[in-house]
Amino acid sequence: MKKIIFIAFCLFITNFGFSQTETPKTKKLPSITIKTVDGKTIKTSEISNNGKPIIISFWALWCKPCQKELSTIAEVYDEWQKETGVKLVAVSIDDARSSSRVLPTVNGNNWTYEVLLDVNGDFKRAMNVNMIPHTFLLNGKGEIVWQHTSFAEGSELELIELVRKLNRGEDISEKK
Amino acid sequence: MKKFSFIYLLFASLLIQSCNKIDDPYIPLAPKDWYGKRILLEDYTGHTCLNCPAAANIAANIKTLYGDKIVIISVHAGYFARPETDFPEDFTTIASEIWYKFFGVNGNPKGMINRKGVLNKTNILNPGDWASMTGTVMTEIPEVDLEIMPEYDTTTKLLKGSVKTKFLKTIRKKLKLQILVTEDSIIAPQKNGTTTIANYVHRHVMRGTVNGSWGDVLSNGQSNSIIDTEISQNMLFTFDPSWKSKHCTIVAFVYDSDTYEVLQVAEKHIE
Amino acid sequence: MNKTTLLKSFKIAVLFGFFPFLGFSQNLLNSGSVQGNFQLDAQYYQKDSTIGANEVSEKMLMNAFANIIYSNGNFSAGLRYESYRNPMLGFDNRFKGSGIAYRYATYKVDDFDITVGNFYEQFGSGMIFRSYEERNLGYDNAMDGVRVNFNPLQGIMLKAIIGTQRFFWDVGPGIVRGGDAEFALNDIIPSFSDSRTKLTFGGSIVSKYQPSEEILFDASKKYNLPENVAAFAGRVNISRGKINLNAEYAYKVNDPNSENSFIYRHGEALLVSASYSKKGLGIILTGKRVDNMAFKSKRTEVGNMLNINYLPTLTKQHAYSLSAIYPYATQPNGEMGIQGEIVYSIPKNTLLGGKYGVEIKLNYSRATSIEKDTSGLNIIGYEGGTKGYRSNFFEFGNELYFQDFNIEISKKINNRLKGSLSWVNLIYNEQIIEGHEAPSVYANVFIADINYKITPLKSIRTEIQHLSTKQDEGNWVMGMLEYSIAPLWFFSISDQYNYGNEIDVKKIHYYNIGVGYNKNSSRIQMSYGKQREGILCVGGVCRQVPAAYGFNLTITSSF
Repeated sequence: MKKIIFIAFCLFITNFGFSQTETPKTKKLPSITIKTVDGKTIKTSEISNNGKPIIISFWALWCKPCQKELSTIAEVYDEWQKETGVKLVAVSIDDARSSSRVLPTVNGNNWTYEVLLDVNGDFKRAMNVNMIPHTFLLNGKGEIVWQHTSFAEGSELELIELVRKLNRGEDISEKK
Repeated sequence: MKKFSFIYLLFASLLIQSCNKIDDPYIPLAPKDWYGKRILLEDYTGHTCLNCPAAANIAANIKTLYGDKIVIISVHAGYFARPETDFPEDFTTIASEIWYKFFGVNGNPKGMINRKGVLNKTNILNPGDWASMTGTVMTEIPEVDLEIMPEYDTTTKLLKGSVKTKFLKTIRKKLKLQILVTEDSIIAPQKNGTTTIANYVHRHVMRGTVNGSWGDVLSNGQSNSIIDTEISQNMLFTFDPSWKSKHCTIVAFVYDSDTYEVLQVAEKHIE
Repeated sequence: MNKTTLLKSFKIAVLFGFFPFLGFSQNLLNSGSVQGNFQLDAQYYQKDSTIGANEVSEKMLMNAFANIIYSNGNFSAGLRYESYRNPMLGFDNRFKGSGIAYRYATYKVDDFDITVGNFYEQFGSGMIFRSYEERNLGYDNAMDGVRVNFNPLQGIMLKAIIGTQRFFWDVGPGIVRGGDAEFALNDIIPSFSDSRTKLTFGGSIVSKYQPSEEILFDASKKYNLPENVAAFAGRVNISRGKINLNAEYAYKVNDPNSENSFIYRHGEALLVSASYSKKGLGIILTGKRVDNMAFKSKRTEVGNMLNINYLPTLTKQHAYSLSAIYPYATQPNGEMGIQGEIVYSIPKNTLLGGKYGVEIKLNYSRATSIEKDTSGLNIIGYEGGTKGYRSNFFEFGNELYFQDFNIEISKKINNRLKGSLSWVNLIYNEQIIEGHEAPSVYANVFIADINYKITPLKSIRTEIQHLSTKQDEGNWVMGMLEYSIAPLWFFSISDQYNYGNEIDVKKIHYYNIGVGYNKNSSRIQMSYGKQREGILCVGGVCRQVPAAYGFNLTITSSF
């Protein structure tokens, strides 16, 4: 019975999602209630950057590659912002065990990112994140145009290149 | 939206009152109706399992309460029953390990009451659930009865005799009869929480099966087993010399070979 | 045809009949979108008796899941299909099977949203209610019921939940219901909104109902079990400029259960933290007390299943393999803990900082038992039914459960070279944490993690770790080499060698070679080698990882 429901649901989705000739291929951020590291409550759909690109990066204090990615970008973040106006939003999925250590760590590391606390993984689930680091790139209209998991030294070069392309108005979604 | 606020406040105030503060923690037990169905309580245990003595205590309390209406067997199987340097005894048997693996017991202490619903692993019970399940199953009406007539020769260590199954109703099920030997009061080390009890008294340890790990076929389910008919099964089994026969008991149970549920159980001392 | 089959056929007919109707409904289709993700983990098990790795009769075991989310304006629905054919070793075998483990529909409008079906939710820090999932622990206590979020005024957030909890492919016997209210004063009181001081406070109530059952105290008495057990929590957060203070207190009424040996004592917990942070420096001090706070929706359940709440550990979660050998697990029956951390960046272009600056992290944590006093309670033999013990709220008990002092220094040396050095000093009470008799482990771990950039896209990273201890398995040394071609490829080879083991046969090399490929949101990773037996913990909830030898594959993707 469960298998039938599953198949039915899949058919429902395919019918729904793909039967239109003009199916929109862009996705916007879901609306999840989340706290900022300052304790304010915001809705994720309200994340904006005045028409400029946004990078959203999921990380945690216990994830070494995540911190390496954010530290590596931190070294060049000022230049990136001056050149492209891009904003990076770092979403911590640390739960109550370590969420109180996020703000001191962010400040201690001198990161100037906007930091959000996704303590129960609601935003992570809504964005379909399985493994971190998972980074998303949004264009000026707030549409998710690119995403990537894991981090290796040098990956940030691809990221800034994509941001530059967005600023020039190029369509990067065929890269998928 | 004011309506929702009101509903919310109502919900919250109901929640505040939703707790029971208990002043008297004990309630005396009321006797139950019993129609003759005895219960098999299998306690899957092991000598290096820390929480097993507490589980054995729970089983012992159930035995004291129900007396002859319940038969307990301690099945030593799994990781915590392995012999180790400080725990050299091997209480495992071929059948114990087969049952442990087949039913997916996956840890100690765990138990089964008349193997009820055990094909669904979530019915392998934690010790806290044994008493209530026993109380429920005990009020069922038995379909068969068992009588064990052992003949044991202390010199040759040979067990003969028979087990008689009598049908109390006409039923059609695929049935098997399992006969096994348990030995009581074995003194050997046992872990208990953060300590080890060097001279722990191991109760009703399952020592071996008389007629194979899954027993003998009583009925293939093709035809009815008629009320009041009897089937007699002979026993032939040699005891291991290390077993103290005066502490040994023969346990026999009839079970449904499709669902594995035990229909009736009986036990009898050797001597 | 009986009633249930009739109902089932009707449901199927409705589902199938629905499509064409929706297919032609232009308005609905225009803004709908489908997203999802999936992950598959498979392990091929080979026998290796020296490390204790077993074969399995299936040869290969696999865990997989797929999430699909459909959203359209204010409406969203989703499901997760899970398949354990059969569950990998270390995961509870009651997960065996396949099916839809999670399904929900949510509707949002203005200041109100309602979810029916399965959901995850947390009140405050989760000390009286947290429903969440942690896939690699096999932890999932999803609620099945209804959840309402309500935002009546700016600054007030109300939540209400009711439902049952997931128990493998079924639900637990208890009903959980609760509510949470949070007030952000700066948003509520207009004159306060520009204040430098930010004040938020909140409270929650959770109550569980499970019908009474027969649990014997002895052969003549059974327990008078409370069918309704309630827990309350209050929290406050104050921040002003660089300082942040947070405190949360929880109280649970009598809840006799298998974890606390059926005592009728109340439960309490307190979590406090104070932090100071500014550019380049962060300091935090946290403290906690947990006393009889195991809270499950089934009294007789033990282990990780059917937890209603979540009690975080206050220890640092280590990310390196040797420093993570001895992880701490929360002791719900009672513990006291403190943790302090300093994160400091020595600025660039200073004497100590050098050209690029230096990051230093210092962390200390300690967990002990709570003080328990049983005098005057007349407990003879088994404590079930009694109040258990008395305990002074602010007193640390005599038994040390865990202590961890660690320091990590990271530095970029030049354009090609950067790295970090760490030292961890641990005391691990194996008897309490793992539940078997063994002396406490005193260990020191040294870690060097260095990255060298060969070209802007090609890097080589090496880790060298060493653990020294006189207890348990003795000394370990570990080396790893990882070559990455950004952003697509990873190649790694590593070895953990237990050279200090007293038993010669156990001086084993746990080698591993792996390759990973990442393209955008997809990742495929393969590795082969020996994995040592260990414990994997996330947030203080742990699972045993058995020793394994063989091939491992992980595929994950989002779409």
